[in-house]
Amino acid sequence: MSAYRFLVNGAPAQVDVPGMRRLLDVLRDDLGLTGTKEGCGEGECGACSVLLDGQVVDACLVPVCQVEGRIVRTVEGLSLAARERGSLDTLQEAFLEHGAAQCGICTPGMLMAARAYLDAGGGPDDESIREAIAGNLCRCTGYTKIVDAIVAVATPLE
Amino acid sequence: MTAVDIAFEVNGRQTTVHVEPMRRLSDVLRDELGLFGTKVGCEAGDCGACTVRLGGRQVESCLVPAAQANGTTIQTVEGLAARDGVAGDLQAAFLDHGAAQCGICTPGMLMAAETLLAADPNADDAAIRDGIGGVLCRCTGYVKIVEAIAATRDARLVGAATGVGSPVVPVAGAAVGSRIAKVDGLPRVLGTARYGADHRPDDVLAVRAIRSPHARARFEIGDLAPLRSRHPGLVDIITAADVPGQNRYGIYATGKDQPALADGVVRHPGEAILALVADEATLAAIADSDLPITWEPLPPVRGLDDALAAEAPTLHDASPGNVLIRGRLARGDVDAALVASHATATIDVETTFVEHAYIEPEAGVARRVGDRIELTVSTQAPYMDRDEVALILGIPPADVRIIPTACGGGFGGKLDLGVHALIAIAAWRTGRPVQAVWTRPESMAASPKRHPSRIRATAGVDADGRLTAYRFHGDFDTGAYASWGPTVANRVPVHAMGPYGFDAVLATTRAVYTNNPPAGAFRGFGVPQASIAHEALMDDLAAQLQIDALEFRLTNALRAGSTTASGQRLDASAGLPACLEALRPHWQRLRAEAAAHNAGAGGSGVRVRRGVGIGAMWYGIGNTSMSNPSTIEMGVTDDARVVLFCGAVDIGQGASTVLVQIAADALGVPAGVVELVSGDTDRTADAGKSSASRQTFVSGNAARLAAADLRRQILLLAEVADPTTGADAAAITFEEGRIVVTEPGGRTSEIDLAELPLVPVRDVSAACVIAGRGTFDPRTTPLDADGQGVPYQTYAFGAQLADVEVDPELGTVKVRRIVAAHDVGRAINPTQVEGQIHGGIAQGLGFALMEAYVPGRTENLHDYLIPTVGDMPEIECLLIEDPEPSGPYGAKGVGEPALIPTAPAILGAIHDAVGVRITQLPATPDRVRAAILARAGA
Repeated sequence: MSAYRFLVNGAPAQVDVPGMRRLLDVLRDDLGLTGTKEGCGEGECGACSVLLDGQVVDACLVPVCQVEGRIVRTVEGLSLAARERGSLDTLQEAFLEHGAAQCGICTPGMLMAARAYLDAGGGPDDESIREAIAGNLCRCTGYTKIVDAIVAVATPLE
Repeated sequence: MTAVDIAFEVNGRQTTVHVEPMRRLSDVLRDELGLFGTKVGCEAGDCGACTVRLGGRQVESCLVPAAQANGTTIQTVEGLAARDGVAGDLQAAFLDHGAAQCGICTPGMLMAAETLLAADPNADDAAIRDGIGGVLCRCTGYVKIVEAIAATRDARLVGAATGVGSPVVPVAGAAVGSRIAKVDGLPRVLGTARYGADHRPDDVLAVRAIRSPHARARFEIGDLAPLRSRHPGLVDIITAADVPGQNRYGIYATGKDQPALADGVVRHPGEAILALVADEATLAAIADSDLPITWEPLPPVRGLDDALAAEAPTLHDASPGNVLIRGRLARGDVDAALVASHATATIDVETTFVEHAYIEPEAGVARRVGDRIELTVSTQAPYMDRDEVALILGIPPADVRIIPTACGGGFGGKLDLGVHALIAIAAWRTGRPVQAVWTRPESMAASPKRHPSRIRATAGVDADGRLTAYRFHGDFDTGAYASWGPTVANRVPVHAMGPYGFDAVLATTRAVYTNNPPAGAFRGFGVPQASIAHEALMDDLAAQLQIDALEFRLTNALRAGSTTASGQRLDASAGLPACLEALRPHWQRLRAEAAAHNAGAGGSGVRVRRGVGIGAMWYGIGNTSMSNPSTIEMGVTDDARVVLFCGAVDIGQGASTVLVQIAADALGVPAGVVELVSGDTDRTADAGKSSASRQTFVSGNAARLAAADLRRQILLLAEVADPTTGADAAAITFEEGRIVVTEPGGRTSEIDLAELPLVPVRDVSAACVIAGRGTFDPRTTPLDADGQGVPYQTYAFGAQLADVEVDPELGTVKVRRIVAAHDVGRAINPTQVEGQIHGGIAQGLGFALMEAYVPGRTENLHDYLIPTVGDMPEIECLLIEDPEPSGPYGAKGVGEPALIPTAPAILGAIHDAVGVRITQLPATPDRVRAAILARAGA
């Protein structure tokens, strides 16, 4: 076993676990961040999407040894960061407003994929947004309201 | 977790595997695709042995889950070959340059090199070093690896032909002294050599040891029935009571104190107490905490102080007071000679555990074949393994067969049993093949180490600068079991005073039991520890007399005609003066450069100070005052093949190559003609252990004698007029089914091999029709109570210079350059000799500056540091050949000698740079800085 250290949502984290333990399990079981969901365990559904140095990854396919010294953001980080400003993240607000979350199980992963898209400078173009969230499956919404929510945030304020 | 389909391209071929997404890519490559070229050294991303290219990038495949390979392109070492069995250009360069020794790091090293050359075809040497910085090698010191990569770069830049190696191919009689490529080198660079973990028969079971978390404890094992019923896949559970034979083994007949499985008492952390035998999935599902074990921890004996305290518990009944053995050498009246000396110096030295850190952890597989057992295992000592396994199973040694695999580094650590006992017992009981591959932490917890030492030494000198007397006492922490402790206790007194002449010597040693992991054999058997003391004292005395440190050593050096402290007269091959003289111009130049640099230090922002130090050594070749024969056979088969049946194991040092070179010249055939059968105890005679730097000298002589015997028989059969005179010039050639002998006068004769009856050799499968046999045992005598006698037939000598820079603010030490002069008698293969020197220097540098094993705390390769390529200095080798009359073609040995002078030279250089003598090893930055501060405050 080895100690692995990294930043989660801006705070330092250290875990003493086998190197091949999944980041997903580290987040949920070792760090109590259960916002990140497991849907398949094989990188198909995207429910476990988190940001690793700003890139979307499936946390179920990332061993913690690959996270050493890196920056992880989870869905909790969106609201944490936003709470300091007294509100939800704009994406989260938009999801609420547009009814983009139905059962909500895909929502954390969807939010992180969308956040990565926006942080990389993505705009309100429908096709680009659909490509950005193509790795995240949703069984409730038919994706329309998810795309609408992201478009709303991506559209520059007049 | 459920398995999924994962598709990728590997070495140009599309493939799909059905595995769990988080399965290590290294395991997928090896176990699913049979690509055993990718090695596993640590499963923690520390060693780089598993390095492959993934999408063109260099990755450690042990840290890549299979799922991340989906849709990618992978290249492994197998993908570097020009075509099947033919080395690609980079592989050929590794072979030509001797860049692969044991070869276990070679695949990873090749893949890192391929990545960097692909990214930057013009990569300079610094970029090359950077590119392989993540791959550890414990053999080569990286020098020849960097050379091979640079040569490949240069060849590619000019579009030179690729995939063709150009090793020297000497004609008959010219093998000795030539730089032929390793005879076992091609599979190592191709990745096809099979190491301990690479033999996985169908139907194989795994055995897992349950190990003690305590250094010292009593324990009881409760009812195992519930465990069996919960895990129906468990095939066997083995405890001490189940050991079929004697549950005590050990190197010495008198020191068989180590159990295969502890019997109610554990004596070191990591000691095995029970073994589970099952398929890997079953084993993985069982946690240590599932086992019904009741521990009663006892206060551990943590080191020498604890062990030697009046109230210390006795760890072994046979050794009250915890002293396993004492060693002693006495000559002359030391007290009187020291009192009469013009000047004296005294030093206290402390060294710590050092881990071998071979990149291949212990591994092997055992099969029961009727009433015999066969172990295919990584080892340095097949015949010793055979006898130990026989003892543990309670069967005759003849019923044990040891088949050595390619050995991924040994350095003494694979002279003890590793996985042997448990795979043998498990296979014996279950009748199924059983494999064990120790994890890196398991290896580091359970395998023997270099003895920690505590030394006090005093040396005296007369007013003319001639040494007078040396007094030495060394206590060595031998850990929980005897292992090679007696060897250390006996070898050290002979060498304690260093390679110098003294009128009077008193050297005493003790090997002391503690509750640490066993300390055993490690390159030098205690002599490297002792050398720290004698070389510091030489520096001190030379300074007191204001004599140059090199000239002081030269004045006092043992040489032909000298008498050693054990009363042995050295008649020949004592080339230390020649080594020191060869170093002299380098010494003067480097010291002048350092002085010039330091003159500018202090001003103009120059903070780092430079210094130059020197270390000298001697080392007896072979076992101390003990018979250690080698027997080798060489035969001609009925289809005219020439086979050397060689029980000496090549652990990377090049023994196979050197022995083939010797045998080829002695027979009078080109080295390329000689086939090699290596190590298998059913097919080769006992050529002893690959230890004590003995294979070139002892087995080399046996090979020479076997080949000479074979040649004599061939010439007799050919009815050469007088095979005893002029026969050396007769040429022997092998053609289809016959031997042709051509005498100097032109007369030729033929031997029709089909007409000859088969002759017996140990390898009953070999259809030999003519066979020679050679046995050599060094001439030694027993040592008396004062250590007087002839402990070794010959000695290696050497000296090294270290040029270092020290940052006094940080305490950091950077070794800039080492110049190494070694008297090897005769360099049978200069490339191999240089490789041994480079690698010895790397280990000596680690010993001096960074390596410290702390039981229970540094059981991995990120907390235990060994030199990377970035730590290595420039190295210049000066080969001194003062021929040993009794050696094969004058050769001695170099394996251990290469390591010994490095640390003393570095410590002397630190002293030269900043004026502090570090006496507690390793000289880590905190210790150097503390010493500088203490000196400033004094």
